[in-house]
Amino acid sequence: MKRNWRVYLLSIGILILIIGSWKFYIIKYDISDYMLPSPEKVLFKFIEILLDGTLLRHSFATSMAIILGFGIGSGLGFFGGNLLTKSRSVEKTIMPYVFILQSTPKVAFIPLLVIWFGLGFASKLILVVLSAFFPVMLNTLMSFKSIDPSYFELMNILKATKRQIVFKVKVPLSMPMIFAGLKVGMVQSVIGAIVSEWVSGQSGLGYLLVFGSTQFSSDLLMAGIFATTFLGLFFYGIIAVVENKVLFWHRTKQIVLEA
Amino acid sequence: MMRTVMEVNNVTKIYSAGKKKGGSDLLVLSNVSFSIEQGEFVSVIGPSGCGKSTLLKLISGLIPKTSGYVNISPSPNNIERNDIGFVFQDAVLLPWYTALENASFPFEIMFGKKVAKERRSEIERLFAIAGLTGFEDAYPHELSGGMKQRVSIVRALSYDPQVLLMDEPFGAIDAITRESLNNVLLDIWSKTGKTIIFVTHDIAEAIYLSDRVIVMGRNPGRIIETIHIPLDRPRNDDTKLSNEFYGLAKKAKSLLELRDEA
Amino acid sequence: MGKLKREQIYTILVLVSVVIMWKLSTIIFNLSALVLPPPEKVLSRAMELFKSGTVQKHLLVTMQEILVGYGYGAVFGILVGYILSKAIVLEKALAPYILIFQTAPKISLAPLFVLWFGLGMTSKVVLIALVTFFPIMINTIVGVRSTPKEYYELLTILKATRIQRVKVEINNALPEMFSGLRIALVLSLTSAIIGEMMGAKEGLGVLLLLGNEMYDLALLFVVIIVISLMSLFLDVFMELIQKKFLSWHQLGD
Repeated sequence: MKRNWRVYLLSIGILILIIGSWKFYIIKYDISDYMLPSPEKVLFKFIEILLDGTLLRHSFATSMAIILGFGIGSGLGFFGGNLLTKSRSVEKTIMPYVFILQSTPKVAFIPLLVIWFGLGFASKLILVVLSAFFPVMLNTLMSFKSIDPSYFELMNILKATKRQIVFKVKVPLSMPMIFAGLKVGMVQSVIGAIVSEWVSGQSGLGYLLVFGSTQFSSDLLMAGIFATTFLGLFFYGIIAVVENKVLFWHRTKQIVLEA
Repeated sequence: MMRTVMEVNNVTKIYSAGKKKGGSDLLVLSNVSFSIEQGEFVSVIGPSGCGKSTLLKLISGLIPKTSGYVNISPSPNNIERNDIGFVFQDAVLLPWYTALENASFPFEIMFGKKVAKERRSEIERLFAIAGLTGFEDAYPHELSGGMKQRVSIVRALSYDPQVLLMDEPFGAIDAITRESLNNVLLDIWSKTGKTIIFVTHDIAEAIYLSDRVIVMGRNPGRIIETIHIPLDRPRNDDTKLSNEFYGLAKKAKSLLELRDEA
Repeated sequence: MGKLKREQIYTILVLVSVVIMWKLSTIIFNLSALVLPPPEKVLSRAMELFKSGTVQKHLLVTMQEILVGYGYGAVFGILVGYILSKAIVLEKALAPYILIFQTAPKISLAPLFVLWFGLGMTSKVVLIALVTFFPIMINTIVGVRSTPKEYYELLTILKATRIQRVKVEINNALPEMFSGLRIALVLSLTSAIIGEMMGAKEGLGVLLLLGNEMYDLALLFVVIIVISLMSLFLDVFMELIQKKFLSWHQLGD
């Protein structure tokens, strides 16, 4: 207990130190608001856009793309990964392309998507789908392949049906790796949505960032940065909480290893 | 009077090298024949690569036989559709189920979750025999390797199969735990009257447990000799210190070494 | 002559049939180059861009940003990671911030970096360094912490020096560290392009925006393919280094 308190105090101390030196730096070197607004200005701006509904409106636009896109992308990813385990030669044929597409930054597709699908919601949605799809698909594929074959032998001995093998053993055993894929996919989805809004958006937190920087309103820009941080944390948190519930039996030693 | 429960007749397994030319077929098991009586405990020993695990998988139907057949006489009181219980080297438990849920998993597969719950008392009776009472609600990650393997034995016995096949079930377990597990297994065996085929590479373990020990050799995998173990039951630590035990072990060892030189 | 496996032939066939379908669809649906340029147009545009040196120029800038930014990220990531793996209280105190930074979309900082460091390479280098820093640092912590207790006991018995201890720890952490380095390398390309799209004068991201503004789809196709090949190259390069360093370690994938 005592030790814990020390850690908390140190945590808070570090935060105070950072904000303090931020403020001190501005006063000492007389930094303009344009280059670096003071912490309280950023806070006031944040409260202002929170109260007048700006923040909610833009967060909603970004969240819709993330929720829908991540849902579709991870669903397709799970389905695709499952499909690829069915045939070894299809897997081997397709895999080189999957690997290339997987490591290609999805944001590179934004300019193309904007030309094809316009400046609106559609191109943003497709990018988020792409961002979520690959990590989930690859992890689903890998986890299915890494299941101890004895589990399938056991099911064979028990004369289980194909359905039972999939739903009683295969899917539950793959959950830890699939969740790891979901986490990576979620982080990528949030990035994809925000960057998409820079280029294509008329709304959304990414648009808010660009708006702040083109209006030379750095307090708005920084408030927007904090908003994206909360959004990223929020969506990641949802998956982490669900994972904790579903995978109560899986002892995770690792901290978040993904980007 | 003894009743033959299982008959293995001229079972042969060849892994074909495939359609591609160049490779030659691999004869894994050659004409393996033996039969087992009701309630008998038979061990199979042999060097690695002699196909002893393959033999179990052929008997269970996990992999297809190239030729020969296996007959298992259906049990009169086996109302389920399964004559074979299988215990793997690893416990192969489902980590999200408790020990009890794992042990009744076969019922869940055969009749659904509801029946699995209704038959709790049967499983609890087996838990008592296996020394698992009190661990019903523990999750696999809370159990030691030995306890997990007990659960997997109970699972294999839950639906009262005619024959229990055990594929080096204690191979990954430390020597001391292993000895106590051997005694637990003998206890289960005597209380349930099961017919057991037990694969191991440990000579002492095979002799200690069995009525008969089948010694196998490799290249190709086949039966070299069957040793009868006339040691008195119940067996205990003193059994292992007897001259008789020592003589049997020496005989089995010389059979295995003879094969290795050849 | 190396024999191709059946699947490798299929792989090539897939590519060929995609290109044929692409060509056919431009003919059948009479698509304009503003919707889908035919493959030969993309090819000729690519030759043109390579001959004039445009692609090389921008590619070089992006490459440079990645090299420098990733270098900083890796050095600081390993250094800070090692220190935090030893300073348990400090690491615990920092843990909530690390978690926030880890999950936050760090690329949101790109406009701010452009504001601070201008349109030149520096803003991109800082962004890449920041993005790559975290996975490398965290994997270093995890790796060093995974040193078995027996190793330390052995080192104590052998009266090992401090440097020898660190060497053992780092060697033990290498597999974990490399997986962090690999994740970070892929991320570095993503952040370079994002940073360039936010504000830059040169780089592949700039070329992408140019293609978008000019409706030059052939240019976009060329740049996307170049980026894909670059990401592939970086990943293969990293894998080779990893294999060289970790010949003793069974690679999981």
